[in-house]
Parts: sequence; structure tokens; C-alpha cells
Amino acid sequence: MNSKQNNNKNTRILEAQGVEKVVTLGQETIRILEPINLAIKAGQSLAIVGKSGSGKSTLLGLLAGLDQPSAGSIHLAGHALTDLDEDQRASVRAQYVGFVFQSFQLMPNLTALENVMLPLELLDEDKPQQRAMEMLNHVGLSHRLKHYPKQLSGGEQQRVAVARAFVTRPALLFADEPTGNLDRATGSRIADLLFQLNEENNTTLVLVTHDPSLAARCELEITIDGGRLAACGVSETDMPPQALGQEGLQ
Amino acid sequence: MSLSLRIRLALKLCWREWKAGELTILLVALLIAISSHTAIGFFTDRIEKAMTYKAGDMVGGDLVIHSSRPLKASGSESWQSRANAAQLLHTTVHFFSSVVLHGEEMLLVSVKAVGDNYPLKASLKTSTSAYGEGQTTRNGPPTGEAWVDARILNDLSMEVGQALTLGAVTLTVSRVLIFEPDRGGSMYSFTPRVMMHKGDLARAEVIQEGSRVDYHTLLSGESDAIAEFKNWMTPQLEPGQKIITPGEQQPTVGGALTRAQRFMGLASLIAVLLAAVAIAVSAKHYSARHFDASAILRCLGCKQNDLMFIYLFQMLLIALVGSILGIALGWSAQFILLYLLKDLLPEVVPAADWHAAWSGLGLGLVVLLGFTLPSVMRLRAVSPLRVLRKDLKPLPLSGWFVYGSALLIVIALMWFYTGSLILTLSVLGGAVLVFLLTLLLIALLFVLLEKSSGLLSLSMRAGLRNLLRRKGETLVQTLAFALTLMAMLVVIFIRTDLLNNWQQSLPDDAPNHFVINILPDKVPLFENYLREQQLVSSKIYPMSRGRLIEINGVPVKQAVTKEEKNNESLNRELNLTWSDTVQEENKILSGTWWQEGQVSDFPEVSIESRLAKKLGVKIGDRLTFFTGRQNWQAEVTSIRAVKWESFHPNFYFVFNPSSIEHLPATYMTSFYMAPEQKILLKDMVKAFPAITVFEMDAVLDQLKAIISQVIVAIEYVLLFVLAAGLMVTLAAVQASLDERLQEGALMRTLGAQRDLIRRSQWSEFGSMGLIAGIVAVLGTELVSFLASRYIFQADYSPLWWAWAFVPVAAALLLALLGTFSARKVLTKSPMLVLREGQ
Repeated sequence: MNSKQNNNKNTRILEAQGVEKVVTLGQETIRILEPINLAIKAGQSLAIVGKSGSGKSTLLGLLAGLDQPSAGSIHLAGHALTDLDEDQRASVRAQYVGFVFQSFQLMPNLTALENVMLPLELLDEDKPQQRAMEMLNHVGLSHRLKHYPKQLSGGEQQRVAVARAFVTRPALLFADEPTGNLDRATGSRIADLLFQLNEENNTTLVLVTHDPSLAARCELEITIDGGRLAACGVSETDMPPQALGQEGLQ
Repeated sequence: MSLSLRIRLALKLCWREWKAGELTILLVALLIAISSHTAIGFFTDRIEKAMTYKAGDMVGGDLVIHSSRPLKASGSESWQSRANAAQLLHTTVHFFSSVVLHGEEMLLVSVKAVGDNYPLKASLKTSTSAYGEGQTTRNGPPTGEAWVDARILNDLSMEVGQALTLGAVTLTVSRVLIFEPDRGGSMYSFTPRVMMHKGDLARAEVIQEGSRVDYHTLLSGESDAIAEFKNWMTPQLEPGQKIITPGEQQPTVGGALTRAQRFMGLASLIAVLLAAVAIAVSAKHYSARHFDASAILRCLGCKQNDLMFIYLFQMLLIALVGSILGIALGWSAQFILLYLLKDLLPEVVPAADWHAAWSGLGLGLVVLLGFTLPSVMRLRAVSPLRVLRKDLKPLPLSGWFVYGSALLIVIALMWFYTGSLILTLSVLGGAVLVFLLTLLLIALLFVLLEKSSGLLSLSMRAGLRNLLRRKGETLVQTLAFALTLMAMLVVIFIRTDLLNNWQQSLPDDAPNHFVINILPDKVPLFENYLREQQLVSSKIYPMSRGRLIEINGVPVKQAVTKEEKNNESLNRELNLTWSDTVQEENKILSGTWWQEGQVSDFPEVSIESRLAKKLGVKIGDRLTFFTGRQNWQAEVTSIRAVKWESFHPNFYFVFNPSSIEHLPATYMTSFYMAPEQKILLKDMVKAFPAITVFEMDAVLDQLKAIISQVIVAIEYVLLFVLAAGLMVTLAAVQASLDERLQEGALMRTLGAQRDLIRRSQWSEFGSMGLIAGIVAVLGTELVSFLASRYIFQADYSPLWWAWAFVPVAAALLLALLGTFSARKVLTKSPMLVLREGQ
């Protein structure tokens, strides 16, 4: 297991307090996210669901440190993201975070293998090529190593993205509609892959989805509606709720 | 991120970009800029080196005194005794034009008569046959012999060992001249050289009092002694005399060559600027295409500086590769320039040094980094959140910053090219004005096109819509292309139109021969001779040499403006004449001409109008002249317009006869001689050995040949400009290709046939070319009109051929280029395009 992994199931890997997002458009101020509190422990999986435009992707971006909240604080693996500048947040992302996106977001000019090698190289880790090949093999793409993204099908591209996300064995994986652009069967295979790797690597999974079946596979689920935390629930698993909620439930 | 990782990643991404064709336009545009810059740089460097090569040897001594009269003893001590006392070697060389004969053939030559100890420095190189192997000699020809340029043997159909006649003397041609150390500026003279011994001059009877002879007194010795002699001699110099020391002399390059070099420099600057536009357009597109990749990299943990490093490293790499390839290409291209101008150049042109290569490298870095930096800086600012929200674009940099920095670089480049800030700013001002006017015209034509689009077919309307939708880019592309075409047209038009105009303005029987050095006692005989031979001639004018030294008592160099200090007419002896009547084709602009036979108390002079304007001379001003050994004054009583190109004898200053007819003079005239009468020239020179005939028809032909050679070279350089101009279009098409692909795919999905799209592309690029062509011809017409009117004073005639040909050709060229570079729109599967575009 990777040293960066936080195996202690009681450690809060991600914690948000009073996180809100307000944008100003000309004279108008738009409140995209009302203050939200949440915490998630290492190895858990959390689904963020809600209608289009409800603010769930915004929340994901804030939690992953891709953007800064207008108020509140976010701690990721012990780092107060809200106190860090963009470059420091980039370091935290490189070290702890993996991403899978709806539109795959592969580097168009790099091959499948090179795309997967990239995060390893950014971390200056040993044997990036070998590890990337193993990972691609793991997701069933050993025959597609030298292919460029545009030569791959949607499902294959997403598998490359998943391989890229897991190759560094991140403590946290953020996925934004990971099956949104795929047909049901392919989407289901990608979801299997995500949860399998989540299981194998004890990676904490935070995913935004429209897909109730995908959400149902997560231990935790929150619903965002109009920028507010509308509901929080526990999936069928027997994990206790991690005190999610607007009122800062613990 | 470690440095090695940054470099590895930058190299890897750069290689991928290159393979994907993303960097081609950047690289090719840079290649054009650098190769045109270095080709001109290498070429100019070699020419300058050829000019200054062995400056001392070219001057022919450690000190040379140029004089239009033999140096006389001055004060109590003659210059010879002073030089001898200082142990300086010295010799005087005589230069003059004359005609030599061999059998039936005759030729105008430039004679150089040398003494026993010529050359003082360096050596002559001669051979025993034309174009034979050279031998070095430390002395000139002995008496009775002549050494000649190989060309003379050809022109006179003679061989070494045969005799030629110069005036009254017959000389045996014993050697062929290959190299004269002090030939220097006359390297480009039209007339070939005959070198003879001074001892034969008297027998030849070609130099009489008043003949035009240049005397070069060469001195050589210890540098202290030379410096002391120079200090002693300088205050004693008379007008028409000057001291030259090696290194001091500005190498005199043929005027055509200097102008060509300047023009090439300017053309190269235009190529560099156009390439810079292509680079900027391409970089903007490159940047836009990398927003996503930057966001992914940021998302994966790349810091802003890592990104900046990766992209800047790529740009640096392109700058280096582009510059080095450009330098290599430029180095090869200069050989073509040398070849095109080979007849104008000395036989041996030294190799260029690496200066042009270094400046090419520097230019490559400045142009590429300068024009891509604003775009690359935007990539640094891409938010990682873009991975979730594609609409999130980095804030555009301030327009002031982008355009301000571009303008600064342009000014710096122009400064670098012109070497003068004032010139740079004024050229820039002019260029901005031309830009704005051209832009306005193009915009106007687009409006017209838009208004008339209702009359067009569906495909043409679709093409026009495309064109007008990208108005900003369209304007820039059309402007670049129009200016490029205009530059090329102006050059072509200068060659064909004005040369023709000028020739047409001369009547068929316009004089084509000048004859000077007619001795006073031979004038009636010469007039008789012309009449007998039925040669139509101008009036015969006396000619005396003198110098203008004061205007209203103020030394002339103080009296004129700073710009006119170096006016050629102030720095040499002028031909002065006198006449009772106004010359043919001269027009009195102000003042009055004297009455025939009128004797005035004070000498009167009529001055040519352009010189009067330059020197600020008005009616009533008193001018002081120096002739022979005395100063004397004359009052300006009229100002004349002179038609110099009429080939009649014309003068800056014409005096009332009573004023100066006492001065020693020879006479001159011009006459027309048909080609079939040429044989008469030989008789004429035999009958009047002192005269010098200038065959202007030959000179004219030679001049035309030189001009067309120079123009070919300029056109060659303009090819770089055209290539750079086309790169702007290519860069713009590439920048809009994604959008075009999407639209094309959508249209094809909706059922549009490829033919419709193809036709709409043709109409889009074709109308752009058409408008650029029209604007270019309009601009050229304007230049042609102004040049005809104010520079060449010829009649202006519209460029019908250009109207008929250029807009259509430009439309075709752009349509071909545009449809070719956007061919993917037609060939790529719409499904693939739509899928990739998701």
C-alpha cells in the first residue's frame, strides 16, 4: 500500500466547514452554494447527487481544491486548502488526489500509456512506465498502450482516465459524472472498476452523479438542491453516518 | 517539479505537438523571417567586406591626395621636397576618360597613367592572356606599352601583343590587368581600364589645358611621418582637393547597389513583421488549444511556474530550431542573391562572418518569444477548475499590454534595421497611416460585398458569411496580403512602367552621345565636321570648372541647412558655362535672362531651380565661385527649370558671357548618332584626338541591365515577403480550423453536399484575395501616380494590366491556399469531428 494512503479508518481525510460559494456577475450576486459542512473518513465513498445546475460540481471542485470557496474552510489530508495558494494546492492535489471526469480529460497529444504515466512523472516516482503499464493492464487496456485518446472509444478513454486516477494510489478520488458520457453497460463496467479500485487501494471516493444506481453503491450520499444540502443519507451499507449536514452535525 | 522532469515533459509534449502539426506554422513563419533576415545580412556583410577589404591597399598608399589639378608647389616649400625630407615615397597617378582604337573598333576607356614607382603599396596582378593565370608585379607598364582589362580585348576583338591607339600614340598591349590595389570605388565603373606609363602622355596629346583629369598623389612611409605630412598639407588644400587615408574613405558602392541593399533591408523587415503577425496569430491559437491540457496538468498537480516553464521551453526550442534552420537557409539563399547580382560585384567577394547568424538567432528569439509570450502567459493563468467547467477561460491579458509590447518589439526591430530612431518613428507613423487607410478601404469593400450578397448563390453567401463573421481576423489577413502584393507590384511597376515612360519621353533623335574636351581652337572645325556628317547636335557650350564657396559672403557649408551640407554639388568642382540664350528645354521660373550681348557691371548667373531650392538661394543673392586661382562673385538674376533627362548639355550655373568668358575652357555638346552611323565615331576621334565621347546609348543599356538585375534581386527578396504574407493566411485558417471543422461537419450532417462547402470556401477565400488584389492595385496606382508626377516627372498612365490580372490572380492564389489548408473540412468524417468536438 502506498505510503500516502491514510489507512486509519477513523481519520477524517476530507472535512468542509461552512463552505459557501458566491459569484458576482456585474451588479448581481449569485449564491451558488449555501454554507455546507461535511466530513468523510478515509476509505469511505460519498455520492453527491442533485439536479443539473444544483451546485454539486461546484462543491466537488471546492472539495478537490480546484477552486477556492467564498467562505468556510476545507481540510484535505490534514492540509487546510483554504489557507493555501494555487501552487500549494496543486502540490496537495498531486500528492493525494486523483480525478475522473465526465469528459475524460485526457491529454490529446499523449498516448494512453503516456497519459497514465503523467501523474507518476509529475511526482517523480520510480518506474513510471512499468507502473502505468500494469495499471492499464489492470483496467483491461494492455492492447491500447500506444493509442491516442481520439483513437479510443468513450469507454476506453474513461478506463484510461480511471487508470490515470488510480496509478498514484491517491488517498482521495474525485469523480465528476464518471459514467455520464457512456452507455449503460459501459458505464456500469466503469463503475465496477472504480469501486473495485476503491476497495483494493482503500481510496476515499467522492463522486458526483445523476445515476441513482451509482449513488446507491456509495456508503454515503448527499443531495444538493439549489446550492443547499437537501438531504443526507446512508446507503444500504451498515456504515454509520459521518455526521453530514448543513447544521454541522457531527 | 524537478528541472529534469520539466524538460522531459516539455520535450515530450513538444515532440507530440510537432507530430500533430500544431507547431508547423510557428516554425515555418519563423523560418521565413530568419532566413530572409540572414540572407540579406550575409549578403550585405559580404558586399561591405568586399568594399573595405584591404582599405589601405584600395586607397593605394598610406595617404592619397585627390585633386582635379596637378598639385602645385605651395608657399616656400613644395610638397615634393617636404615629402622627400620626411622620406616618404610618392607618385602621382593621372585618371581620365578617353577613347582607344584598334583596327576598325573603338572603345571608351578609363585611362590610368602611372609613374615608375607605382604601386607604392600592395601589388598589381596581371596575366599574359585574357582570363589567364595571374602573376604579381610591383610596377606598372613601361613606356610604349599598355595593360588593359580583359573586357577591352573582347570589345576591340584584339589579343595581347597587338597595338591600340590612344590619341596620337600607339601602345602595345602587353598584359591583361586582373587586380589593381587602388581601383577601389571605381570597381563598378562602366568603362574598362587602360593602364599606361606617364611618359607616353605628352605624345598622346590627349590632355590639354581644361581637360578633365583627376590626379591622385599617393604617399607612403612611416606612420608618424605620414601624420606630420598630413598636418602640414591639410591647411594648404585648395577647393577640389582632398586627403584620403585608409579607413577614412567611405567605400563607394554603386548607387544602385546601395539602394538595393536598403530596399532589401526594408523588404526583409516587412517579411519579419508579417511573419511576426503569423506567429502571433498562430500562438494565440496554440494557446487556445492548450487551455484544456493546461487545466488537466494543473489538476494533476502542475504548478503555474511548471506550466510556464513547459510552454516557454517549447517556444525556446522552436525559436532555436527555427533560427538555426533559418540561418542555414539564409546562408544558402545569399548565394542566389550573389549570383543574381554577379555582374555588379567584384570578382572576389570575401566570405561573410557570423555576425548575421548571431543577429538572426537573436531576432528569432525576440520575434518568437516576443510575439508568443502574451499567449503563453494566458496558459499560465488557466484555472484547474476548467476540467469541470469548460466555459472557464483565463482572463485575456490587457490589450495595452499585448499591443504595447508588440509595438515596442516592432519599434526595436525597425530601429535595429534602420539604425535611426527618428527614421523608425517616421516610417512607423507613415506605416500606421497606410495601415489605417488600407484597413478602412478593405472594411469599406467588405461592406459593399455584404450589401450585394443578396444577389449571390447560396454557396457564395455561405462563404461570405464565414468571411464577415470573423471580421477581425479577415481584416488582418486581407491587410497583410494586400500590403504584400502592393510591395511586389510597386517593384514590378518601377521596372517596367517608369523605365518605359522615361524612354518614351525621349524623342527618337534625342542626343545619345556627349562629347567633351573640344579645344577652343577646334570648335569651328568640330561644328563643320558635325554638319558634314549630318549629325544633329545641341549647341556647343564652353565649360570651365569651378567651385561654389560662398553664398552672400557666408561659407557655403555654413549657409546651407545641415541636410544639404553633403550635397554633391558643394563637394566637387562644377561645370560652369556661359551663354547669351536660354538653353533648349530650359524654362525661366523667376528673374530675367540677360539681353544678348549685354555687358553688365557685375557678373550675372542663372541657377538651376532644384539646386537653388536646396541651397536656399534666391534672386539677388551673391554667390562666390573659385576657379583656377581666384575667387569671384556673381549675382543670381534668374532661376531655371532644367530637364536633365533630355540629354542636351545642361548646367547648374549659366553665366552672362561677359562675366567669365576670360576663363580657360574646353567645349562640349551632345549629338544623335544612329547605330548604323557608329563607324563615324572612329573618324571623329582620329580627327579630334583630344575629345572624349560618351556613348550614352551604351551607358543607358548598361544602366537598364543593372536596374533589371537589381530588381530581379529585389523581387527575389520579395518572395520572402510573399511567403510571410501567405503564412498569415495559413495561420489564420489554422486558427479557425476547429470551428470550420465543426461547422462543416454540422452542415454535412444536415445534408449539405461537399461541393456546396467547397464552393463556399472558394468564395470565402476568393473574395478575400479579390479585395486584397483590388486594394493592392489601388495602392500601387497611387504610388505610381505620385512617383510619375513628383519623382520621374513623366506622364502617369493607369496600370491596366494590373487591374486585369492582379485581383483575379490574388483571388485564385488565396482560394487555392485557403481551401487547401482547410481541406480537412471536406475530407474528415463528420461523425469523427462531432465526436472529437464533444
